[in-house]
Amino acid sequence: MSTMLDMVGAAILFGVLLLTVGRIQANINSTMYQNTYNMNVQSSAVFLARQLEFEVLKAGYGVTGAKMKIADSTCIAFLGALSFSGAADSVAYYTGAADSTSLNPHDFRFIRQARSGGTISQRLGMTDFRFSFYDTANVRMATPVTGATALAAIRAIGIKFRLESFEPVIDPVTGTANYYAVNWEKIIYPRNLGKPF
Amino acid sequence: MGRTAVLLVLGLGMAMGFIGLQIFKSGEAASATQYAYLKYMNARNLARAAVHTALRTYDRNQIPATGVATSLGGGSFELTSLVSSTDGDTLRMATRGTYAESTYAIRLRLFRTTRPFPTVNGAISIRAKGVNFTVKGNPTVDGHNYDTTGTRTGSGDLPGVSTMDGTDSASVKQAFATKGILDGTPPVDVDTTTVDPLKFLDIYRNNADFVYNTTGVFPGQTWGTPASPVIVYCNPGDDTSFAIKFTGGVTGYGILVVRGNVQFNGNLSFRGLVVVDGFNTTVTFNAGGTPAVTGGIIIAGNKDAAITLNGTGAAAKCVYSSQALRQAMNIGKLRYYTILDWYE
Repeated sequence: MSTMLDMVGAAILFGVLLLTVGRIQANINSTMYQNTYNMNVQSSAVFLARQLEFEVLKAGYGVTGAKMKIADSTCIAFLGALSFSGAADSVAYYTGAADSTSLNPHDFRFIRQARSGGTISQRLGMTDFRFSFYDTANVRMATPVTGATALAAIRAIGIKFRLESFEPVIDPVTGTANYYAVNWEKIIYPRNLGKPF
Repeated sequence: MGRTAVLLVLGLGMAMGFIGLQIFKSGEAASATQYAYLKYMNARNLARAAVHTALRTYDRNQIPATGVATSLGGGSFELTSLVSSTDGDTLRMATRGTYAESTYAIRLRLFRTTRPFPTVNGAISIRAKGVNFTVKGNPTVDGHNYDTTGTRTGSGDLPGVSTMDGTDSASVKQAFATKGILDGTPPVDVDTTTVDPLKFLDIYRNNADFVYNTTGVFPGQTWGTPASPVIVYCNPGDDTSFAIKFTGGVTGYGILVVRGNVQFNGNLSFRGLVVVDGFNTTVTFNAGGTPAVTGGIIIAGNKDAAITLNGTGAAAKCVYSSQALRQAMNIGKLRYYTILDWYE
């Protein structure tokens, strides 16, 4: 009888332990997903920020005449040499179609188009991408900026984007879906936009 | 049973430890990504600081040193190369910022030019009507173009004194009729294009190296050097009591702005531009000294603005010098830069 009680007690304790371990495993999985998505989104944001800074700062470098071609709230196109003493290139950024390959219902493709490199459609989990433009007096210009005179008056470009994880992390307690996100915003002053020629 | 439980607990502990390590590594990688961006930004800011530091060195009429690393905020910046065109108008420079293992380089080409400068139409250009012009002693006013050593260049001569109307021209001629020497091409002329220097005065005041705006007697002043001209701003207010007096020898190079009543007692040697401006301004080069201005004087202001040239010997003089004016125009802090190319 006592052996029977031991076996039943051990089974109950093992079950409790198993449930506890299972719960811990679920929490650990959730945390690992959070960390992974966090890291992925942050890495993508840093990658994109550095790419935008590197290239937008080149606007007007090695170019005479018109330097800005398109200046809209979600689209920009400019001329500039991307390498030291290199040939002038044409670079454009704009938002593409919704990304149907991710679980995130809000993200869309990020398009970079360059004369030298063709068109690249990037999956970054982008859910917001906006430009703003500032003139010689550092006054924000209404978008779209059109006309040669207005485009030539652009001296600073504000860039703002938001990246989110491709998949949600389900909270094990509440069951809600969370998308991990990074917001980045900066006003860039491409020095070559103010050239007198 | 007991040994099985111990093994089970140990196994679980190891599994938890491994998972915890993975989580830690994941968090560490995220931090490293952010920190790498921070280092990149700091390096970039330092490289830009090197550009600004070089330009501010030019503002002080000095040449920035290359290859000298300056520590700032845990990193360092350096002007790695600097090439100036022969006339000094075009600068090519390269800078580098370093923060931890991140390095950022900038290469740029700048066009260096001067701010607008008041046009001088004679050794003394008067932009006021009804000026009370007095000559005492034996001064010389000469509109011929001299270099900074006092030798005629043979070209670019101007009138000795230019006035805004014929009445003042006659008054100037009359003042020199019995005293002093008035020379130039011609000695006196009417020129209504003399610019009002008022619009330049705020710039000069804001960039002044020497400011005299309180009453007092200031003996033996030295303003700048031939290689490093400066801006001197005197504004004692519109009184008639000569609130500012410079006694003893005064030597200066650059731009001298005088608003209000100022008296120079003793020798004055100034090379560059002298601007006399203000309501009822009276400037007196007084006593038995030998006031000498090489460059040009602009007198502007309301009716009754007055200038008195004194001096006991022939050394008392005001001569036109385009070279001295050019040096004054090129004062470092009055220059500005236009970007021709900027690569980073």
